[in-house]
Amino acid sequence: MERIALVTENRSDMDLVAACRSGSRDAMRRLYEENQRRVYSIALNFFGGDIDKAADATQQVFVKLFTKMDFRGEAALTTWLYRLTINQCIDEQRKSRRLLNLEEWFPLSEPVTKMSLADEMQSGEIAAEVQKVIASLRPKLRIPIVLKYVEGLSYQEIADVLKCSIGTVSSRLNRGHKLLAAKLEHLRNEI
Amino acid sequence: MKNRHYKEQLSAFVDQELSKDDRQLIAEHLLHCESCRSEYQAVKLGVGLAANLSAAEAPENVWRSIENEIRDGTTPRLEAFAAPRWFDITRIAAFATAILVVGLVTFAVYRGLFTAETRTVGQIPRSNSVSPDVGVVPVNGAEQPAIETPVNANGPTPENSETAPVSTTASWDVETIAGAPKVAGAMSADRLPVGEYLETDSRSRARIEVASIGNVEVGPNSRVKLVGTNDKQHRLALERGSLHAKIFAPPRLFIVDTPSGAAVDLGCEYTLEVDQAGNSKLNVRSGFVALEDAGRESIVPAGASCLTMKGKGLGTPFSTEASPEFVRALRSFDFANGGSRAVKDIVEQADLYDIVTLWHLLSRVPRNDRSAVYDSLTRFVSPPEGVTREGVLNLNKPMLEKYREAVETVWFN
Repeated sequence: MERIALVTENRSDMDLVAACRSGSRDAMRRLYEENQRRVYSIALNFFGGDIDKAADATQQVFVKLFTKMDFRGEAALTTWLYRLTINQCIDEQRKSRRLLNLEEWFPLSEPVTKMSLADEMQSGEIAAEVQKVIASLRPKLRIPIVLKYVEGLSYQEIADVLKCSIGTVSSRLNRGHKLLAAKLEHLRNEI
Repeated sequence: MKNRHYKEQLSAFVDQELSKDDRQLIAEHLLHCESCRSEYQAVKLGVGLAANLSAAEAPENVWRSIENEIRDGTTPRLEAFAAPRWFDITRIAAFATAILVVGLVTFAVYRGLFTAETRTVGQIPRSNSVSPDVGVVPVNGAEQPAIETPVNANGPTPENSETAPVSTTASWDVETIAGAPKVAGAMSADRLPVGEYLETDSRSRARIEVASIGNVEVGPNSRVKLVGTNDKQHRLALERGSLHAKIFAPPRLFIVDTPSGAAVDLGCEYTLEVDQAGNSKLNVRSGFVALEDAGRESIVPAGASCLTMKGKGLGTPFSTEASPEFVRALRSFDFANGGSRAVKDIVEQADLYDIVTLWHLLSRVPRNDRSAVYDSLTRFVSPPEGVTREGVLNLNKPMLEKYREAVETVWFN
């Protein structure tokens, strides 16, 4: 019964994505409303609270979803969307880390307003500090933490998204937790 | 089973991802295993910290941007990341203009720095190259590479930079973020003139606009001086405390002096801290920063940190994810004359995250330790075509440069 329910759910998601691909604005809006929070939240925590980068990544994920990607229903739509979001974030981070980015030196538009370090500290100092440290971790440690503590996924669900074993998820979370603890030891009595 | 440890399962244990039986087994083990108990405390703290993360709704304008982009395909992205469109003629024109401007600026900077009789602000007597091995002065007995040229020799410090003539009228905007930051000799703290200090107490923070190229947020208990500013160079001196810089400018235009070295921006975002003793810690969040001190240079990429110690000089960059053991061995090498023993520990502890450190060490360790460092690096990054063991061990500059590019590629992927 569970499998039938999953197949039905995937079928319905496939129809919804197909409707988006055929240009239905209602379908796009519905898909966006149902998923924007999870996509944006992953990106926001991936980029250490940078709302502009998170918004940009969210935009790109949905544009790809509506115009380029084929969802074949092999996994749940949310699992597939998590993968799409993670790949988008990693791609964007890779681009932004390049040294000689002339467009950053000579932006073609006005500089964007970023959530500043100070703003972060004012709006929930601990959360902002944690977010910042998590953003400094390598993606392979950062992503399981974001999926676990922002999206509330189980280890098995994280393994499905990342296409790895539960043992790998467990090991990466273990290392990520220890790094967090080492870097934020001074907050031990604050939480 | 009594001797088995459960360190790899501790996150799953704290997150309640294990079966009841497994949880019981680990709980009993923790009662008598001090080693696992210590790790458990760290993991538990990490889980508690991560639990502070939260979800959020996307801003309203995201949907509008998506609609626009789908409708006509021409609406620009939200511009946190600019999407390169290589065959767009306007972009090509913009790039061509940018390259021309960079060339002219670079030429002007070079001429200004190397030919002017008096320098307007500080001194950066070196090229625009970001090659870390250029100018590395060997330590711990390492011989000097043939390709070396002095970097920043007798270079700028907060003290000697003051001797350079600077504009006495220029100043930068200051915004109070919290508390009451003070600008020495001024009634208000909304402008920081050249030669003056901005000071914050434990409750104060301030944001300084760095000309038109970015901003610097000054943390609590900090003292920062505007050393100089003009179109060739913008220079601060951080005497103590912390600052967080976000700079969008050509490399080497923005510099922060500390009592134990200078942080030279190469287009990046970073945090710099200076303690009461004048030691500093640099943590780079994006791009690269060059740390320079008395002829030595470390290029610190995003995801890495670097320490400087007053009187002992510049450390070697290391990953923010390096193990404590690795960092301990590196500190011993950099600051405590750890010598070959420290190099041996570094090599033994090294993993993929430590490739930037290993690459820097190639030109810092003595010849007899270099092969061990090279062998360790090759475990994680294969030498590119044309790079030979002998060439690297002899500190052949083109080979080191080529190897650096390969290391960088792995680092950012």
